Amino acid sequence: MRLPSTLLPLVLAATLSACGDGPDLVVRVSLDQVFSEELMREFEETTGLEVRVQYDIEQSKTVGHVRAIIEEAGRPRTDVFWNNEIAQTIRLAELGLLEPYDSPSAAQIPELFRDPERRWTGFAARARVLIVNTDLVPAGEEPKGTMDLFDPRWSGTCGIARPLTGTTLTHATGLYEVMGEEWARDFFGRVVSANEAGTVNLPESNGQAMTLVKNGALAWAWTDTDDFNVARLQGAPVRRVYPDQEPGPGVLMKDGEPLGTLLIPNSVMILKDAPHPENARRFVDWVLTREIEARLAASRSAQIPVREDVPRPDHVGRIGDFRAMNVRYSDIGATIGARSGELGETFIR
Amino acid sequence: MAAPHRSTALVSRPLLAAGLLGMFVLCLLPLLLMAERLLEDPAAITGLIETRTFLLLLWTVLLGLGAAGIALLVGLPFGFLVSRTDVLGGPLLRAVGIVPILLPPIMLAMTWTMLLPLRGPVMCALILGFSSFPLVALFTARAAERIDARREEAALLTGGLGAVLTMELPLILPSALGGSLLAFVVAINDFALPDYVSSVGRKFNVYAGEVFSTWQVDGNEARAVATALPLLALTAAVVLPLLRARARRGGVTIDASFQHPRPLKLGHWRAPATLFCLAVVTVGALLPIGRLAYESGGGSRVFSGVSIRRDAWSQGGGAAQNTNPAPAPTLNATGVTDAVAAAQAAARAAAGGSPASVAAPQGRQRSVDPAAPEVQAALEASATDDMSDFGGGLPAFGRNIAKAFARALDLSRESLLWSLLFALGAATLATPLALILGHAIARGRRGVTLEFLAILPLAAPGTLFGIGSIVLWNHDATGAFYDSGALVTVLFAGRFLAVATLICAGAVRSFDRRLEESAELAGASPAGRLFGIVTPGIWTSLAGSWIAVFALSVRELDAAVLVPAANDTAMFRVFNAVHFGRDDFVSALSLLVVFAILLPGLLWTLFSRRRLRFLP
Repeated sequence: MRLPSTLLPLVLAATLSACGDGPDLVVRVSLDQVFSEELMREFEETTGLEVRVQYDIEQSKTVGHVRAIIEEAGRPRTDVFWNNEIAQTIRLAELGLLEPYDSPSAAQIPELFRDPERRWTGFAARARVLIVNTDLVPAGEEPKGTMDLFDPRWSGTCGIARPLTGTTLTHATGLYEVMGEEWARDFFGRVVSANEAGTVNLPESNGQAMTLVKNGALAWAWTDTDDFNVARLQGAPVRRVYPDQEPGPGVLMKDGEPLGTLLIPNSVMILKDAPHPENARRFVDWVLTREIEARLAASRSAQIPVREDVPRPDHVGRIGDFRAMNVRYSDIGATIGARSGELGETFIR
Repeated sequence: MAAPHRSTALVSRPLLAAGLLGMFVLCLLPLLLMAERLLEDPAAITGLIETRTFLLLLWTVLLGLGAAGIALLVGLPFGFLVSRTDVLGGPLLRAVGIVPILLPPIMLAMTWTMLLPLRGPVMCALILGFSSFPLVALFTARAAERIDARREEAALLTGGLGAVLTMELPLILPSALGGSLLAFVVAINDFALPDYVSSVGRKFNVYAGEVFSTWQVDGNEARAVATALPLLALTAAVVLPLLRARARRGGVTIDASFQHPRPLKLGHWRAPATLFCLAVVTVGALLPIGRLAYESGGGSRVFSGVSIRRDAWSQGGGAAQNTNPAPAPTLNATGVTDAVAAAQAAARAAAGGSPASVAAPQGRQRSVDPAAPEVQAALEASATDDMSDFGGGLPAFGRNIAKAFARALDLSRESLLWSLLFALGAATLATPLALILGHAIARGRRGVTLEFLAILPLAAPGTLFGIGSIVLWNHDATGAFYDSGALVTVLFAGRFLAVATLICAGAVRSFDRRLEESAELAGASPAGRLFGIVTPGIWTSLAGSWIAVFALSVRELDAAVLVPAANDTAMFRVFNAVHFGRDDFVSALSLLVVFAILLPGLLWTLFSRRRLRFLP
């Protein structure tokens, strides 16, 4: 039987040769592939650079990228990380894995969304929202905030993804920072107990939370504005509620004021010792342009521009339209690793 | 039957050395590099000793036992019926019966959770059991085919079909149990499925989820590696006895006097037995694939067995009630059509064609700004066809399915090609190695140890193996290799070499060693005997090895997600797209992936006269 021994070198040669000389730029992207792929292709076409893009999957979210970047730190293979949230970005900055770069395209971005040392820049934000099924919840009777998870009215019909990855983990870490450890431990303990009692559901991800509400399996659930927008564009009977906005039942209060909802910007950064630094800067300059932010706002992901004057469709809204949670991203980033471990022990049992 | 005995004289030392080196580099080195981290903090192991961990392990074992039990209950009768009886379409049912193990369990879950309100551990066990029943069926079928016809005829004469079954069950059961133990191993290593299936209702956590979660914490690498040990230990506890039993039985070859049994006539049981087999393949393979085909053709995706108020949604009243504070450009089906037509007209107008404001197909006048967000949304909706329904009948279904496949191919051609290329490379790399290792396992000393070592990468969590591969290959000296697609080929080959090795070892064990000994006496070298005598004799098993590695590589995701070069595979794309609602594009792409997974097996079935062998 000579076939396999003949095929082997041929296949290996084909595999190697098909890979060419290697890309001009390696970008890890955790903004969902369905949203970012077209932009990445466009960058390639515009610049003529060959870009290798590493997307992630819903299951591993940003964590897969971050873990791989940490493991590659001895010999970085990634030039740029376009993270669709910010806490893991700060974690990488704290680990000393980011190269400062003050992009001219970021000049108009508010300082709130920029690292003082310019290791990362935030743009195009999402907000944590409640997605409500309008077939199941009449107008005016929607849930209003965080504590509605425990309202007997919603027993068995509400949900929040387990805070182990993605923006739900960032949100949970934010609650730890703003509300305090004791409160957060008690709150998430209550969520787990409520799930065991069958009153709160724990979808596997924000995307599935959206799908369950869209299909009527749940009356409402926590998700992000981009997931909500996908359901809306599909014509699903859904409504968006910004949580914890006005005092009232179900609303989480902090120092006598409603907590507001967490705003989570995308963030882009150049990795330390990136193999293609020039191209990396070129990419960062491009992705931080007003045009890209406007296109992200007009896209299916409906990202909220952080620059006030960037044009956007009406349904995207503005950062000042709702009360945002007053939180320091640097605090979230500094503790997200530890919180992740603690939340894992709370939710996986 | 010849008594089993071993000798290293039949094994080529240079080839064995090359095989061991290949296995060490591809399979063991990534794991050893991760184990090194554990040595940095051995106390991490003691951190596992807590009630929560034990409870998770208990749940995991129970899930594994449940899945293995279901696989046994379904696989044993199925395997026996399609291989030994006169059920209608037996050979076809037997071939289709392999499909569920090749499909990602999540595909079964997506279908089953739409049809059944069942959730939690019971649903998990059901899905994993049905997903892995082909393992039991394969083992059962091979055991049933190795019962001598004379023995069977004697039982038939003395007590009819009942006596045959009573006589054969004890002979088949050990093999079937072996298959169910493998189903157990598959079940205990899955964490995505329990998470998905318990999205509604009480969360069902398993130990594999803990392994994944631990990797997220910084400075916790030792603990992360340690967490994987209990699963490896569980796998070892199950697999080692199985391998020993196989090694004891494995030297037995079918001698020249063996008479192949004839198909048993089921009489009036033929119809129910056929229906049972048909039901099994329908539930395990045809239903998930059929659902994908239905959705590709525009079938509704809102049907849900757990919907609180399905009627309201299916009647389409929901969207009209949308009172979003920030008015959304939600359009009903007519609105979408109008907007699309108007936008297209505007585009034509811009190109010098007809005016932008045109009569909509329904005859109503509607002036639309093509740059408006709602028009863009409508265009996008029309492109994705998310709101499609099945109201147009078969012609519309045909058009939709053609459109969905064209779009899936258009957008994912490269991903599909990469998937096929990586899988082709992995299968072609793994098969010769598996032949050498399988021969050494069957003919050499310490076969069980070698076989167990080969299985380790499959038993280890994919994350562990993926990170181990990064640590192993990401160096200046191997930089070009690390950055290339060749790494993916090596990654897949290393992860699935175990499967090919198991198949080859079994095949060599059943191959009459006297033929090798005769060739040795005639002066043939060990390598010459392996490639000139053994290889042609187990040709169909080698093809089975190649196909198994190919199929598993096409669907691999856990380790591939970490390696940049593995990014653009079709499976990767499916999982990303499925997150945002399963539109017809995703369904069509999923079908293309399923087709890619099954392609070599289909080709073999169509063009080869010999049956593919996964078991000796």
